[in-house]
Amino acid sequence: MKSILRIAPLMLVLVLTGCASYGRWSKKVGAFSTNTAPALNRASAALNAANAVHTLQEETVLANQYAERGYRPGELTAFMSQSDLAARKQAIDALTNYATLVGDLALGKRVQAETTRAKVLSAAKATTSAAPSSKTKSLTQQQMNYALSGLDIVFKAQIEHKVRKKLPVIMAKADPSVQQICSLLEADMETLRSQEKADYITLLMQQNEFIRQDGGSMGAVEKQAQIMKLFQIEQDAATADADLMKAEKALKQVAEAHHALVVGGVK
Amino acid sequence: MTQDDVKQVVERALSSTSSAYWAAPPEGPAQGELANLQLLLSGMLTKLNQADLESRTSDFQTAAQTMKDSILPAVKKLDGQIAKLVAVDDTLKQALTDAMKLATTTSFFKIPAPCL
Repeated sequence: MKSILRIAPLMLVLVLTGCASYGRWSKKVGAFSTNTAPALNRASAALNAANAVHTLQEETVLANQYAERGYRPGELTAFMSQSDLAARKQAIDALTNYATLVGDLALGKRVQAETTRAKVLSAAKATTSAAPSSKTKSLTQQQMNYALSGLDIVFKAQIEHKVRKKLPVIMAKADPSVQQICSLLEADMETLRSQEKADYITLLMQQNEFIRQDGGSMGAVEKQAQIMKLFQIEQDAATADADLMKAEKALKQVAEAHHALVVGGVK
Repeated sequence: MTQDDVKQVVERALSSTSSAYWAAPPEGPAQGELANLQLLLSGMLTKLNQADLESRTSDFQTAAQTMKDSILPAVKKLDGQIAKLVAVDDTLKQALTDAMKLATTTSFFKIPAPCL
């Protein structure tokens, strides 16, 4: 009995340390989950924006060629095919879904929701206790709350134990796919930077050609408005490039955060 | 020469054409010719970039399929197990609450003082 009492503090320290390290790990998983959705949204938006800019560029070129060649909408082509876009959308959706589920599990979102519900239930069921006698006592609301809290602690510990045991294994299995999707999207962002730069250069030159060729027939105010569009195109190009760089950086961080969680594990 | 090398050459040519375009006098014919050259180079670069994206599509499909077939079911299974535990906890709490309510309203169920 004495030996048990001697090692009890040590065991308590070990348990508390374990809880603290799990808490830190689960917060990191939560942060990974929170940061993944915006990063993937950025990538998804960048894919759509690149397609839109390319279409605008093609329309501008065709509009400038109208005098010589007439209306030719059949020459418009999408930058990315539907199958290319669909494959990326599937990968983005799968990773978003995974990150959300993993974050919810690590942060105990389901347990939190249930605890809130249980508190509401408990408050609604609160009954006034009968006057206690010397030989028998009615259970007070406070005592009932103690009992409910005790149950909560037991189940919370069991749930944490299950998540702690199984989630890192699943995340380790998922890591190669997470790394692959992120690096593929990063490479896509580089390609889009190259494409958007070319598209904006074309837009700028075509706008300038329009002013050069038809500027003489424009009024001063209209010509001024057309010249101002040149500045706008340059600004849009800079913003688009900055957005793509941010998307690329965010994807890199998602991949690194996931890998660090897998390598670090729950200590 | 790899496709990446070709792409870099076209990108550099595009950048040089753009610089030459803006350096050329606006009233002369050079700008128009350079704009046409730029369109040609831009078309080439678009084709190279499209090929670049297409080359990754099957890898995206494979990664998405792996997530869908083996990773997500494992996470959902764990989530289901947690949901069951939460449900058991909820049922026990409900039972406890009901029992206590009964105990406070029925004298037969009064709990002996020493037990509390």
